[in-house]
Amino acid sequence: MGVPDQRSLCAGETKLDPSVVSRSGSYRVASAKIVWQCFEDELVVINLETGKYYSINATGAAIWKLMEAGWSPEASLSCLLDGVPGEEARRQVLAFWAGLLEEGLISPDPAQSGEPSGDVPVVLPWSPPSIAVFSDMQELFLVDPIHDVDDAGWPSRPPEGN
Amino acid sequence: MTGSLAQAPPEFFSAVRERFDQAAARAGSVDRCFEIGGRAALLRFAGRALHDVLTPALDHLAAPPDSPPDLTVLLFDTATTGVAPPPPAWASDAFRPRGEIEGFDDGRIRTAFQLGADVLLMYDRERREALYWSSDHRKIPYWERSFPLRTVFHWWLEDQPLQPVHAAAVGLPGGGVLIAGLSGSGKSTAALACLDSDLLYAGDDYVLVRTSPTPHVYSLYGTAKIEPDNLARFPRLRAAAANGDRLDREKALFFVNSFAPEKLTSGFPIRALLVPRVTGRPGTSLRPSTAAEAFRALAPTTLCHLPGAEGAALAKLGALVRQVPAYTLEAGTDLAQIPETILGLLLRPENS
Repeated sequence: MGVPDQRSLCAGETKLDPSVVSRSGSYRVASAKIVWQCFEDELVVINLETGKYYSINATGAAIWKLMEAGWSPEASLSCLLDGVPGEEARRQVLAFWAGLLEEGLISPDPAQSGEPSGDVPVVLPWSPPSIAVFSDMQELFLVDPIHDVDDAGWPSRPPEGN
Repeated sequence: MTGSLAQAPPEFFSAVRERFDQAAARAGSVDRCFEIGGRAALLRFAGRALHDVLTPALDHLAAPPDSPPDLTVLLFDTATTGVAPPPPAWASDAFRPRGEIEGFDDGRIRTAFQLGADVLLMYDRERREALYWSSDHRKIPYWERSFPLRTVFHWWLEDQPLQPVHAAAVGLPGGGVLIAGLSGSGKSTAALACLDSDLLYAGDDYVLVRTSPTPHVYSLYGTAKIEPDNLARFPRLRAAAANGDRLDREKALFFVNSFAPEKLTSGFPIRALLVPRVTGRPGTSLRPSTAAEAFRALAPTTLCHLPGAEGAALAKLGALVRQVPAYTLEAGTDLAQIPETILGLLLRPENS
């Protein structure tokens, strides 16, 4: 420990497959154990089921807000890339959605239509969405919670443990 | 979770509480009052053994014994009293990594089993009463002795603008700094380096922050922990380690009250949040940082260690980092420069 264990999950640096994303579908935050706070230029997301946490840049934060409001990936493209040319930007946005899916942060939401609604976040100037993944807390969650148990069923270990 | 509950949470709480009464009747009870975040907490022990293990970390917060308690904690262990709690009322696969018991939080009763320390914790929000059980006080690990009851304090203060956080705190009576970071990030080293300066010490690992009306930190534990390898940098402290015979397998644990009580403070207003970064160079300096970076240093490690900490705790931590400036503490090898740098920050006109 000491230095955060970090890797980048940016669209250009990974093999994220945009085809896993349902372009016209809606998504929601996958679990109540996924919590977040939005700052001026960064969204911090914490998954309390895995211990992983994420730093998402301003473009990614805008996509997150659209996702929360029920916008589909396709609708997010039209919103975010208004005036931004190029197929590469489309691929980056969809790869970001794929990254959220791969990390288990979002899941399909059949209850929503995927139609645009709510306020439109403005992102200027354009920069590709990115996620930095921090896994330094994950060790805590990989501990097998099933210990040896005593006769009454309480987890137990020898006195000299830990 | 597989299987059904053998008992509902309130009934199980009552059953464990009855066992505490039996334990206290057998071993006698010891009452201690402490002032936690400006409120009185009564700790009632069945027998002295757990008392002697858990209270040294809190001694600097001792309050008059007749203080009307806002929280009552009933503590017992089986080895001392011969009384055990009922068997778990949940299935064996209900234990979660943060200590939560899946399906055993009904909004009124909170329950956790702290794996590693093997301690059962329960809290009744309506009665503001908590239960603490260990099979054997001799099994309580050094780290639990360094921050006893942090989960109970978290549950108790959930509805208040108060939050135990994983951070160190040092400062002057008029204001100080939080030092946030992972274990091993250098926050304990930075906090201990301040013991030889004009700065006062509020804690090196867990402190209690108030987010409203103004940011303030309260001391929780008068303890410090450092890696044995790091002890060479603090030769004066070596003899004060409470577990000097176990440094081959434990961090060195210090009760600051036992050797430098004058350095302990009950708390101070928070002027800044520092995130340490060990540079390997001699000098120490500060570099302005962002609220988001401070939040990343403070929130995940705090939330991941506290059972049931979710939205409310997250919001409090978010509010805190938005109210105080954040800096990266580029911590150097010349330890004397660390308190000098922090004092320099605190003595700036905007912080006095």
